[in-house]
Amino acid sequence: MPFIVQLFFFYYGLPEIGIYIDAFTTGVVALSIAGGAYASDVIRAGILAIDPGIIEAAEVSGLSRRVTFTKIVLPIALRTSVRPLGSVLINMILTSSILSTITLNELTGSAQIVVSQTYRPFEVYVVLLVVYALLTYLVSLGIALLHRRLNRDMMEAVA
Amino acid sequence: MRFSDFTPFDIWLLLQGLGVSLGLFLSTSLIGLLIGTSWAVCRFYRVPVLTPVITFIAELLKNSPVLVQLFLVFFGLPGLLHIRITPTTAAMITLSANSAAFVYVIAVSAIESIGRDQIEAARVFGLTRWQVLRHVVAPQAMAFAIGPLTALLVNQLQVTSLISVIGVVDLTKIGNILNLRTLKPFIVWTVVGLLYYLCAKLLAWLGARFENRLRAHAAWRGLICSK
Repeated sequence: MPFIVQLFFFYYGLPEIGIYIDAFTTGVVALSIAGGAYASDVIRAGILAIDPGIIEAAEVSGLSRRVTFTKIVLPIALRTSVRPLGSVLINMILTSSILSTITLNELTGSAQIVVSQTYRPFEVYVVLLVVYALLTYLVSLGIALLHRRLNRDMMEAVA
Repeated sequence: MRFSDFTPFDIWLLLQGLGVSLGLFLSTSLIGLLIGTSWAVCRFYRVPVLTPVITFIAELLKNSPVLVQLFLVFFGLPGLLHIRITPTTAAMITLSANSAAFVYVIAVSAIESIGRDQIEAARVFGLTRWQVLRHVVAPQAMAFAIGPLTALLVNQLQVTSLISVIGVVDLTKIGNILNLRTLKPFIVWTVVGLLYYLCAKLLAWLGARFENRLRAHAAWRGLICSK
């Protein structure tokens, strides 16, 4: 389901059942749900990638299912899924530009206002393109650093 | 007479919107596939100046929102080049370029997934670079790339919904129109979402079938020319 349809569903639908929220809250809700769906998929893949031997070892050691999950499964899964989670994050930054369609003045919305004031659409949108590219580039740099830091003890094994 | 209720004609409207969405999706995907693949071939041949330029363009297209690209083409280009662009043309240009960037990345990684030793062996046998590409690289790269490509196409189908913002009357725009007329957002957006969902499911199913066929072929081949 396209994000813009989900967004319209929340923005136009919720007031009908008596929930009145502003554009910003709608954006936060819609983006959180969409991002959460992608992130859950990524983390699920991270959990499935864990060697079953590790979980069996934890069970044999007498750890409860909850402790196994919080102390063993989750740290490993989150650590290995840092990079895919980063691409989900970058995708969400790009998706947030769609929020300008529900009158939320984020980066794209503000650019539209600037365009309507200056009548220089090409220049403004090129700058906007570069700003988004820089933003996602910085985020991907940060993700790579985090990935390297979290997985530093496995580096010899990988590379 | 108040036009606030759903009429049977609305189904026709929805189907029309779906047709526009799917038509644009199919044509831009096809153009994107062609351009993206030719970019990847450029990289395979290591064309001097073109390759870095292509990589830069692909990075820029990949790392910026489609909505901004759409605005740039639809509002920016006419002012710069003094031409008139219809919303459909702008949508075609943007979506094709955007798919091309992602196809390029997939194609490049598919080509790189094939071991250098195979290419070198084929070259030693006296095959030209084109023959290597045609008979050694392409079949294996296809089997490798079909999975990511399916995921990309499912994503691109959803990206087409953005073109409603610049006034193309696609499925989302129809949903918007129906919503404004009937003021029943829950029903309208559920139906629109369901239609998109069904198309995406169909696409994923087709991709999975196609992948199975290509993979079966690759596995069978792998037995004969084992590494």
